[in-house]
Amino acid sequence: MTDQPNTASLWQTIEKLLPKVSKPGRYIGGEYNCQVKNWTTIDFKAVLAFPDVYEIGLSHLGLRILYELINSHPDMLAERVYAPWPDFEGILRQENLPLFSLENKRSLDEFDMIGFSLQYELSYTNVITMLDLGKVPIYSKDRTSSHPIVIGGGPCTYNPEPLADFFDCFFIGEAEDTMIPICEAIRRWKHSGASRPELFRELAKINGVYIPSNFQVSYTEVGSVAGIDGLNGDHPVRAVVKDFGTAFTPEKWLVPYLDIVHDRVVYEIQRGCSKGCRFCQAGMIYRPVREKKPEVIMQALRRLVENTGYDELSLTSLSSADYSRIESLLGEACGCFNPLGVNISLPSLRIDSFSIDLAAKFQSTRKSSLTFAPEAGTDRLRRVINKGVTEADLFNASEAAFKAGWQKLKLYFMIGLPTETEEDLAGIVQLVEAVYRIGKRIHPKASALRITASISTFVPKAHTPFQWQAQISVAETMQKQNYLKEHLRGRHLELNWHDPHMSRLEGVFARGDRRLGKIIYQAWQKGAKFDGWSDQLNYQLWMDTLAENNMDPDFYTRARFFEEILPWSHIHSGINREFLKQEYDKAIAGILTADCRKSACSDCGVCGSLAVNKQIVGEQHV
Amino acid sequence: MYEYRLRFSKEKDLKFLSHLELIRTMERAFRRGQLPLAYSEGFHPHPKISFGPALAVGISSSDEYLDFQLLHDKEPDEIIAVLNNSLPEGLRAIAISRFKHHAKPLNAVINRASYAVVLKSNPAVQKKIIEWLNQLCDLPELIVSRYSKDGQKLVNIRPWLHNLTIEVIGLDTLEIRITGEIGSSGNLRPEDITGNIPEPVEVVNITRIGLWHEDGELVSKPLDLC
Repeated sequence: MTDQPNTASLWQTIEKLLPKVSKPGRYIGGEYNCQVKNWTTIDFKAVLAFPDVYEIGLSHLGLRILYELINSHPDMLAERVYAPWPDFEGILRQENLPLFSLENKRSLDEFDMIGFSLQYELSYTNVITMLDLGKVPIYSKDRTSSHPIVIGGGPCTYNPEPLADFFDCFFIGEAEDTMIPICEAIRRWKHSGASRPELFRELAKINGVYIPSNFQVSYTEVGSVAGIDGLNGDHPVRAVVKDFGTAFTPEKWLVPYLDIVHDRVVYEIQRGCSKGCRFCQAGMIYRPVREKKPEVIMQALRRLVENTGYDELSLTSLSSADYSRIESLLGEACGCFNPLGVNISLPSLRIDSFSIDLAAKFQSTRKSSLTFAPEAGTDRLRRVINKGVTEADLFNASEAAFKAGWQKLKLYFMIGLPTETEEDLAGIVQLVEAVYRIGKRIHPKASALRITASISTFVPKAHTPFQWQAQISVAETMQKQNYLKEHLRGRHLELNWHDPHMSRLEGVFARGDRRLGKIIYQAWQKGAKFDGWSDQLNYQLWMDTLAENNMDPDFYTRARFFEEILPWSHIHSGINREFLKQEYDKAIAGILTADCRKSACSDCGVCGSLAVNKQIVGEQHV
Repeated sequence: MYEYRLRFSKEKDLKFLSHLELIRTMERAFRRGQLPLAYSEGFHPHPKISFGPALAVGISSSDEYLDFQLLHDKEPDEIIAVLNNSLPEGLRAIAISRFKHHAKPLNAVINRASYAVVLKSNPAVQKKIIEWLNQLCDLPELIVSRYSKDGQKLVNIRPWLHNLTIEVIGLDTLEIRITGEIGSSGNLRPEDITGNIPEPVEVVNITRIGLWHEDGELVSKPLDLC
């Protein structure tokens, strides 16, 4: 953490290079509410890193929370860095310039801590790029006490094993209560002169912290995990905020210049989802469902509108229409902010007419299309995945949407779900056509009438009931996609699908183990970057790298035995393994599990093992 | 409705904002300052702000303009104070005029622009650069190639170039001032000149230092035309 006095000249040099790159606004910082603290007087310095482009990274709520949380501490600062697009990376390498933070324009190696947000597997090579460009040793074992502590958080930490060699520690769960204690521990250690292992022992005592180097993994002859031995201390357990209702939320919301992906104020009205969809990792790892009080929400929204000048507020959560006072909350928010030219939006709609009514009533600037996620083509398969939505629900909701004036509907489906047959694929075709016919009946002359079917490939994720399931192969994926392409034709129908190669690579890392670390490193060395971008992914390069190391991608996408030690077995999400297994069995039998918001507890184990309760503000009583 | 014309500057790192990014940033500054912008009617209401000629990414300016409409009457001095409190570093409100009558839009009025360009070069070739720049205004035509979405195009920019002056700042540094047409009658870009200098140069910075209306002998600033 050398103090280089040449920052001003670093920026002068970069400023001259910026006109040569696409979207230079990605690298200038200086957004409204950007917090540039005094570099020389602040004792603890963190840089929050998102391994994708600025427009995606700044759209992410989690890092915004941590940015403001750390900066609210008088002796700490948090800055930001995003993955440079290949054109800018090329210039930095050519000129031998470091990757720098947007606030004080400091090289990453000048910070005490680098916190990466790990949101999706195909961003892993960008983590390596950013460490390397930031002059930080790529492997944890090569870092000394003069280097920053590299920590990762986000959903990928529920199976971070492919990244185990690169990170000093992972943080599993919700960081609002725990971020500052982690920073404090690193800060104390910095002044103590103690060794890195000593720091790791301290950090491991903090709820949610996982030190990968404290665990040793052995493998069987066939390559599955034989054992995961904790060398020090206990297994990591997911951290949960003590009281989500009063947890820290950002108020000095950064207002970017660029048109970012979610270019609006995003306020989290509830956390967790009680639906229990069996494929959904978010539905498992953010349990239990907790709602904020309407008065807390309104007060925060007022300040956010004042502080940003945004014309849109999004009331976000995994399923906002389920918020128990959603109607009165929307009414109040619209009454308060619409006169100021600020619109309210809901990011996720349920498939029912209640949701359509909400959208029609409160979204004053209409989005041109509405999106529903039936996920599967038949009622049977929707029971398997515990998406308790029927064909009739979808038809009713579609009818309500068309009647309310929408002419474009988007329907999300997955292929490759457990127990899927050709009947389920045919079901997707029939549903899309039936929804089109409803639209045609209500808007007989509408030339703008359009139904879009968006087809993704199911990727089994760790800590879900489907974690033991096989992922379909590339060939099978293409076969299913071709079936849909053949059958879903028509001027008013549109079909989107995911690149099957990308889904396979995602599947390999989602349930991968530590041996994939060298694959990531070697693929990166050969030039892999931005693997989640279809114009950047070089799939063959990955397959070659795996083959050169005698590794088979199918090994990772295969079905797992229930007796098997899974690479993420030592990480505790709070959900009982028995619950996941039971959900798996119920899935295969096509039995639904009820929503724990409305019905009895489904005994997933989260509330008991993490000492947390669901928080429901309740129906409005007038 | 209360109509105003604002003169502002766009400098420092914010020279990297595109025109669209600038528009969004301004709208948000108005809203943060609780200046009650008027909105267009219809399904997708837009605030009534319209900008003068767009500035290329990477060029600073000390003389930019926009027109806007408020629902309530506010004193120009108050608006300037509010805006400067809610604008990010790099954008600054300089002056505001009220519309006294129905004025023509900025893009119909502004037809001249002036740029200051700081160039660095090897002292050995400075003289050659000055000579090349000095003969530009005597040329009957000056063909430059421009890149657009449709590919490369050859354009004669000579009729649009009205004046060019050179000041020697140091052995390796020149400041040139380029004045020419902007808008529907023609569009001179400073890069048309700097990109064609037949010696190696480094463009240190480019600043737009003036926008105005010229009609024969008559020269008027945008704030006096509303």
